[in-house]
Amino acid sequence: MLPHARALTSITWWWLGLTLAVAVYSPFIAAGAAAPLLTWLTPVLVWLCSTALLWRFGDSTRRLFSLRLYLGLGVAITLIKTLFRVVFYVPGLTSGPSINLPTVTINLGTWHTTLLGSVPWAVVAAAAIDGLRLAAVVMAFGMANTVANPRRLMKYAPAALYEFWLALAIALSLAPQLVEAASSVRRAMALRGEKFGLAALPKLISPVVEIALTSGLNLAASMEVRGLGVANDLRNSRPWRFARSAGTLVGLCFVAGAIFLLLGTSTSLWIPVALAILGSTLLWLAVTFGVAKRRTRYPVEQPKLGDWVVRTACSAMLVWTALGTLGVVS
Amino acid sequence: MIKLVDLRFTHNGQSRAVFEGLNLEYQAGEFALICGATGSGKSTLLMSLVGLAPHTTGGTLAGQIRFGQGELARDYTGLRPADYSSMVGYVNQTPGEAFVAQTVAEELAFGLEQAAVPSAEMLVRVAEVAALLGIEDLLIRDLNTLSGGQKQRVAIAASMAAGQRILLLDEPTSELDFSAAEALLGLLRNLATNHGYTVLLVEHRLELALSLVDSVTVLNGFDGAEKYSANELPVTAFNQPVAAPMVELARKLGWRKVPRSVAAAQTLWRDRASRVRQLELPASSASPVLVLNGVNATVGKEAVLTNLNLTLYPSEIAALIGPNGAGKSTLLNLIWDRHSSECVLVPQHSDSLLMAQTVVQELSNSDERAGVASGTTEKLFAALVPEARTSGHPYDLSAGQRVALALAMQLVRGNSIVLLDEPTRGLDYSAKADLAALLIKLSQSGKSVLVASHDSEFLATCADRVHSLNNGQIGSWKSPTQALGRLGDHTPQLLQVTGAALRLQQLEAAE
Repeated sequence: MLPHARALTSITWWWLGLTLAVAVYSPFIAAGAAAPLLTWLTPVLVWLCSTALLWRFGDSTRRLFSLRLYLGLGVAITLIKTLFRVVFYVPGLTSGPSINLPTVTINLGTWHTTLLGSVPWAVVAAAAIDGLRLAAVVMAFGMANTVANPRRLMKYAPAALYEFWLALAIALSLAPQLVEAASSVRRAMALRGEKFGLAALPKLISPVVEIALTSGLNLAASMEVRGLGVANDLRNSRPWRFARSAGTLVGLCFVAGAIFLLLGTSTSLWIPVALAILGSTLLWLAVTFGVAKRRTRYPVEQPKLGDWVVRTACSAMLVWTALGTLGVVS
Repeated sequence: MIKLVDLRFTHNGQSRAVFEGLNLEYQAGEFALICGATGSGKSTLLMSLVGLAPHTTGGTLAGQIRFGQGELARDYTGLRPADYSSMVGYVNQTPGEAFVAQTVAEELAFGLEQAAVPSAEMLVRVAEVAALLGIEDLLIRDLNTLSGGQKQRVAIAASMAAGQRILLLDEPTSELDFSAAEALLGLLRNLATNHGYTVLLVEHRLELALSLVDSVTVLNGFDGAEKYSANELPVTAFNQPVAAPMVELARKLGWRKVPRSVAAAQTLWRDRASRVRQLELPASSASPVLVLNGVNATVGKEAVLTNLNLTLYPSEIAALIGPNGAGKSTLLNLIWDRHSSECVLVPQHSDSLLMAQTVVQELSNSDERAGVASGTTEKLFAALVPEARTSGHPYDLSAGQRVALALAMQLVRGNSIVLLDEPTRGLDYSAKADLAALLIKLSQSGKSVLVASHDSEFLATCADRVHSLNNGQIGSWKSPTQALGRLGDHTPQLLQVTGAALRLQQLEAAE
């Protein structure tokens, strides 16, 4: 039973997860140049907050497993990011105290490059902060994924987006399955009398992927047998179908592009904003006018006062971050 | 309710059909058992009745499938699985993997949501179907927290919640212990008799189902199928060399019909009583190969094994029995963890041991790992399942053949203690008999075999000693006859009928 998770509806949990993820990149960071402590503090706080929520509200049979998974991912991301920045450091403008590592020069005829060398601490710190931010984002989504099953969100997906959501939900449930499969393969190798080491990794890949894919396919087959989408009374004449698919696809591409530009170091901020608005409008049109009849929902969760409080706070935070990013507030 | 006309299914790239010339009919309210040897196409038949074959498996389905009563009967051939969903519910062996929701109530509602049933009506119908299957108390539970038996009930409820009148179940009891299996089959009987559902049950453990079902359909692969009334099941219906215990008994004593229940068999037995010889057990004189003294183990926070003692001897087959959750797997894993240089373990989901892309590759990898002459594993494997094709992917083998492959790979390493965790899951009677013969051969060659199983019929054919695991402790018995005779309904049927014989060899021919 999940009495705790029911404190909020699953939509609210995902909303909260998204807000926490976005908060890592909030205007605090931009202002952080003046207060370096804040650049460290924000991702760490978000990370701690997500971890605490995961532990407090996660289903007791799954939370330890999830915590390990997302913690491991976060540590790996941070380490790899930092390591790459140090190994492939290109001497540049940053100055200040450095760690002095031996320089490795690779000469391949006309092409040569240097690795390592004298790397300023400031560069290492910036890389670590970058890694920490990503780790915090991973933990925020991991929290939502653990506390509120993504499959439940499918219920709320508009019929026109149903197939898309379905693929996404199966993909999301595949991630923990991959880890589970890996540990079962590892156990099986021990039972077969094999040593488990780095050399065994390539051998692991095929059975792990196989197990995860099989269970994904089983799930899809089971949904289909149970009548998946059988009553989705979509407007099925050819032009409608084309318009709906095209609208959905282009809209999604626009939104994805907007997110990509926002997270990158885009010069202008108005382009992604315009893209996002255009994309959302297209999606809304496709979703609203492409469907004649909607599926029904089993009334499992009703938003309560707590939900509206959390949702309002999250929305405020998101709006403020957006405005801050656009430079309207600082 | 169901009418099949000349149904035939062929896998892609194979000239021989999985089944062919099936002409079968099932009525509303009929509880039908479908059996047949491993690979005779039982699962494929069920999958084709719900559109999964050929939709997800590939291959070609020919012939006709008609569902519905009289005038309303409709041709369902060649539709997609979703199109069957208003008519047919399907439950496979491992419902845990096929759950689509998070809680029981949502799982039951999934089909109703798809069919666009209004929310208010949905609440009523979920409550109704939950009451029908006795799972009202579970509605708010998370699906992950259910026991095996509960999961099966939820899966069945979910498959019929949207008003399906036909239920197809593929070995729903394979992961359940005896009492849970019995309760589940009783429930299916009730659904058919009192609520008019048509239930098609694939199950090769005839001893579990025969007394409850109305009809028995025996699939003979490309020879078509025969359907019999459960009351008039001739012994000759089964052409495999080894069949269910009751069939074997009837063959041995020259009965024409298979007795439907233990009581019926007892009457026949009393009329034509034959003598029972003493069970011959290997004399145990050698010193033990393994002694566990005061072992404790916990799973999570729960103590599973408390102060447990167990002794294993060479040259014997020891059985470990006990209900689901008693700690049988925990004990086997513990033995393997502590004595991994002397033991091999074939785990419950033995498929996890198979990792290569072809069976041939798997066999030669195994030779290499064990450091034995090439071809050794293959010989062992062929002794277990001579008919298996080794050119394909391991997962193209049948469930029984895969267990045999895993066992062969472990045996070839030559360790002196062989641990097996529920090895008969998914095996038909011939494969079980082969497995029993192999275990006996192993024990005669000096190995010590420990089998955890709730298949008492299988244990009756090979166990030399029985340890029963209850409340974290081992109870040991003087003889397997004594131990297995204390299991109530779960007692091997031969022992129930004769009161003394555990194995068929103990019976002297009648007259």
